[in-house]
Amino acid sequence: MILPAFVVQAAQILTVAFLSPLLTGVIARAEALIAGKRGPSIFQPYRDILKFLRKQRVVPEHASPIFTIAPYVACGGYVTIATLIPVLTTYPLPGATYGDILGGAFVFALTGFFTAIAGLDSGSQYTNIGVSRATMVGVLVEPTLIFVFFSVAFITGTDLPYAMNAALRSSAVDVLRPAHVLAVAAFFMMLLVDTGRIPIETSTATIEFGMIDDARLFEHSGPEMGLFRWGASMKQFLLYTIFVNVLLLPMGLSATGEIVSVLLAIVFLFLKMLAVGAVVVAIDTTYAKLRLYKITEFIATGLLVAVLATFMFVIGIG
Amino acid sequence: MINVAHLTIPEAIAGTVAVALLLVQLSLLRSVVLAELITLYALQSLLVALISVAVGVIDHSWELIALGVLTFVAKTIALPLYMRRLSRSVSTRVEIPKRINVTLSLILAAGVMGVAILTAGALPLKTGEFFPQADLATTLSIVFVGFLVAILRPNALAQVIAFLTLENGLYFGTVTLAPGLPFVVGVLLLLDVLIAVVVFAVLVRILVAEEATASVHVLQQLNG
Repeated sequence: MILPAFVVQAAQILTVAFLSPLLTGVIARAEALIAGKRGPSIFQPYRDILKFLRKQRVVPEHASPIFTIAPYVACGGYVTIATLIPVLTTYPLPGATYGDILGGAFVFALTGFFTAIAGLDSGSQYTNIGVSRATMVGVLVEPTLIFVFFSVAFITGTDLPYAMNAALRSSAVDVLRPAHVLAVAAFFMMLLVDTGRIPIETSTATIEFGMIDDARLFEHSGPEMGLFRWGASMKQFLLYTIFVNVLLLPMGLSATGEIVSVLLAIVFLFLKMLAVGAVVVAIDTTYAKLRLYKITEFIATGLLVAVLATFMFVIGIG
Repeated sequence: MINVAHLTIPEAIAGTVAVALLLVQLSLLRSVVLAELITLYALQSLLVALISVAVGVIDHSWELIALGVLTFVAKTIALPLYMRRLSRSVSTRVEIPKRINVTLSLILAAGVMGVAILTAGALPLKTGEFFPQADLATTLSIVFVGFLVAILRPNALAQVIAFLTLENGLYFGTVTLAPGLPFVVGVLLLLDVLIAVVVFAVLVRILVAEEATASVHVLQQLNG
């Protein structure tokens, strides 16, 4: 049975929304196992989110409505991005061409912006420290990502995620073009930064000095906290999707919208993500966290790699 | 729109290894821990050995395969092991000093890599095996960044490692740009490196024994 395009689009959104906590859970479990612990169940993130959604909310006395709206905007943003990128199919679904890859980046920036002003709005010093750090990191990550997308757009001749996927599928070996490999390496470094992994942040810590992303959420509670947690999982899932489906391994997507092929695409997608997750876990468990002021050096290296990628391609030697 | 020609598999292999070499060379600049520098050198040597074997298999040239294996044994296993022992006896500090901060040195690296890429792009190179200009750009970049590491790290052992990565870069260049390299020349190159390391090792040991330091700053005060 061939599914209508809007049904597949809905399936994409549902995949991102409901499979993302599982990915977070699997990675957390794998890390615990490698560290010699039993670790939480892979379904723990679902339980956490459900628990938060049922809890009472406490709002700081002087906070404005933005404080409460922010998590909804963030989750809405992530769902929007899910419609723009090839999660399950090789052909564009309804709404997929409303924004190119930079459009997606803008929506990511919007979610980050709302999280930041919600943190500032709470008036707590601890969230303010988190916001200031997250903004510092974000300011450095953004240009790197733009360079990555420029160089990939140069190579594939388009900046629509679906068309990038198609261009890479048409000649799979072009994934190994020097400029593209450099761009992929730079994106992977930014992936580690944006998902709050070692060497930038300890993802398993609850409260610690070097916190960046989670420190912004100290004042949130109840359903809003649950949404932020869910949003963080979705963000990770989306970035992994862009990494595997748009940049690295464009295979395994459904080309027809046949129900079996869509289901297979979900399985393939998750397998590809587990492969990326394995690399992330390996890095997480073998490297130490960088000191805060060394993070800029890490991101500068990523920026340099991305600039080299664009440069190599524009000069015409790679 | 720039016209994009599609790659062949050997080009893809050479290109990927070239990029991996570049990334390792950049990490060399980022790292300030001696043990890490040695690991990175071993990794880079492994990549060079791999490309040598790959080119050998594609060209059916046994010399290159043999050289690749020799490179692996000498530069990925033996030398790093030896240098690790040496570094333990030389220094008790984990971090080696650096002349300028890492971000600035990365910008410098971007500059010299840009020069390397522009130079390679400007040359009318036709003789190479797979991806002549990218390979030349990689070779030049590794050499330039190697010099940069040697300049920016005032530690004798770090400078030895920088010197060794220069040789790795040149070896990558000879294998990809002129694969018809005679076996004897290749082995001589390898022996050259071994001798260099042994000489350096002896020197470093004497220096440490006499002056209790491998830091270039202190050693410079010995000038008359």
